[in-house]
Amino acid sequence: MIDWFGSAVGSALTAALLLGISCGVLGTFVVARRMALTGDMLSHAVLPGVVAGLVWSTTRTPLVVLGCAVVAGWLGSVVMQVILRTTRLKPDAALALVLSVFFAVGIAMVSRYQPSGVQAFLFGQVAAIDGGDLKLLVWVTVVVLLLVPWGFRVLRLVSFDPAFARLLGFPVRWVEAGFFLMLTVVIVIAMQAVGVVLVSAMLVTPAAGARFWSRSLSGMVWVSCVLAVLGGMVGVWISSVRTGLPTGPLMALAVTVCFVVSAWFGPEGGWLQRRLRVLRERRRIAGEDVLKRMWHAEQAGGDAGGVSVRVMKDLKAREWVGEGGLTEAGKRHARGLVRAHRLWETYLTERAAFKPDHVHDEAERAEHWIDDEQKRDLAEKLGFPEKDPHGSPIPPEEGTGGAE
Amino acid sequence: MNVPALETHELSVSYRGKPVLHGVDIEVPPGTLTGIMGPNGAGKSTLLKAVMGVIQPDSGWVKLLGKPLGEVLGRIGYVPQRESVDWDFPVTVFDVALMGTYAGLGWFGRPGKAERARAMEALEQTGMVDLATRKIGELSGGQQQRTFIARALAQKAEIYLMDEPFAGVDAATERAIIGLLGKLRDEGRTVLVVHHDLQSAPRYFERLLLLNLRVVAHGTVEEVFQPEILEKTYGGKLTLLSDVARRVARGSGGGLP
Ligand SMILES: Nc1ncnc2c1ncn2[C@@H]1O[C@H](COP(=O)(O)OP(=O)(O)O)[C@@H](O)[C@H]1O
Ligand SMILES: [Mg+2]
Repeated sequence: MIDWFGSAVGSALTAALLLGISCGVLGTFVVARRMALTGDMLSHAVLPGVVAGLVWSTTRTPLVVLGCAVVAGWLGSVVMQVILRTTRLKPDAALALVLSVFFAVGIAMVSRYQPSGVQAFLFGQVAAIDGGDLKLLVWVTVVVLLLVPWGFRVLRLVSFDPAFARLLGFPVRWVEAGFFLMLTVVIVIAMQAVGVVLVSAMLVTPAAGARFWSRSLSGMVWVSCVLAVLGGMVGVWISSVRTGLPTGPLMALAVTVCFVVSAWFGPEGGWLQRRLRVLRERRRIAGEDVLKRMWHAEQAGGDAGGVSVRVMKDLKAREWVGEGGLTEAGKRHARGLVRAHRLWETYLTERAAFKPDHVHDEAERAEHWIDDEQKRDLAEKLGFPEKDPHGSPIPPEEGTGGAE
Repeated sequence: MNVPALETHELSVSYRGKPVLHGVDIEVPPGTLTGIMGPNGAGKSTLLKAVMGVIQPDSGWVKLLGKPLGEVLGRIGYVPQRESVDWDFPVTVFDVALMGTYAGLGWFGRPGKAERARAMEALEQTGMVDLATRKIGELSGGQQQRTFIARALAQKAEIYLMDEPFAGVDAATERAIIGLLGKLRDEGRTVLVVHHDLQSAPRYFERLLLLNLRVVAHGTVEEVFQPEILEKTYGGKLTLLSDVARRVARGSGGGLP
């Protein structure tokens, strides 16, 4: 234990682990609330406070530095609110304004006072995180881990619909203040590991990747913790064990790799899943087109022509086609398609001023995408037509009689 | 003595010195279904926000169920305007419906069986059970509105404020929603609905509040739904009033003369 914390790599890895958890949890809320720029503003706005803290406390007591930084971050938020309330500036412009002014003041203070230890805050230096910092980080992580799951429901409600939260009697202002306080603290600590510019990477990237794995906010919190911890620790490991390159950029890059992998393979709208869905829909449409052809042929007593083995297998798997030709389910589905096709043709000619000889191709595409509810809505809007613009009968809604 | 469900007294609201509502003075009797109507920018949403305490009025006060808002929190329900919701927020339909039950839970209580049942029942009433696990961003306009109506139903509030629940909704859903609102009214709840369509208004509501920067008329449909009153509401003859008011506000604020 002692050895672990004592060794530079050990304490750096521990810091990455704890930071990953805090950044993962809070970052999820930051992303869900579209506050990524606010996070960036905070990380820059705290700089004057950090410098003041370092100058004031020459022994670099973590709590003093943190306290001063939080005050500066809070000031930045207040100035931002005042700008929004009294001018016509939009939030993005106000953020940029506060960010640059506060950061400029901070940099000016750095060159005036030259406090020791400020390099870590500017460029990040996990090795500079010592025992005192680690202890503080442990406490912060514990608070985040206790407070957020406990108040998760309320924090989500306040984030999603503050007006409703207020109506239910929740103290929206206090919840928001608490969230901002925690966010500022985590940002100040993360700064020491990755530097002022890359804080956003630790805060935003894991949570953005988590969107590809989970549809609920609670699921996102878990995934984003895992991604942040994984990326952070891998970054530290590559930097200190393998290459000796600076840690901050490597952590940011490792987290970004996690994001890219998520965007490819995540089941919630990842590239692979979207690709598979397109292929699946194409197969369905090809099958439905053949089904319709077979149905028309059966109605007319003619021949449906050749059908590829693969499509036929598909149709059988869906139980639209059996041994003796179309099944009942197959016929019903085919009638549904024809109904959609002819309703859509009628709608386009009657309501959208298409020429009757121009609507077939449109309807050929649309018929695969009109669900039962929309068919009902279309029929109602059109006054329950019985013939399409070409005079062909529109099959009635199933279950209302007259179909068989 | 019948306490009005909603009472405002000389309520005036402005955004950054630009006056939006002047001296709104209304009393809405409990157990009624009221349509709030007026042209775009008339201040309908603003009135609801002032009632909910989202914006501070310049002057005047609001009482709900005879008390200031702070004493009746949890008993007031609200369906937001579609544009004001972040549809990308990662919550499911069921999550939203469940939020309606939070009032009784306090800070750290977890929704239990009873709350889940209530949310599910509300989703049933709005025909959204099959979509309960969908993300709200993946819904059609009508389904999105039904989700928030379900949250309102789950809340079992005494007063409901709804901002354009019929915007972007198909005909069948609109009928279903108005049916649900009628039921809420029959249970003795008070419902105020911002509405746009003049044609359906007299069928849907028993009372109307016609608004255009001030109250043009307020009363039962028979009293209010008159051609000359509607002309006054929608006729756009009120630009002078707002112009002058803006100049007065600037003058007293030390700005332009
Ligand atoms: N947040 C805001 N800041 C400044 N002006 C606003 C804001 N919200 C609404 N307004 C203005 O107040 C007026 C009334 O708006 P609103 O109450 O939304 O009208 P309605 O809902 O009747 O269409 C409009 O002119 C609108 O431009
Ligand atoms: Mg509005």
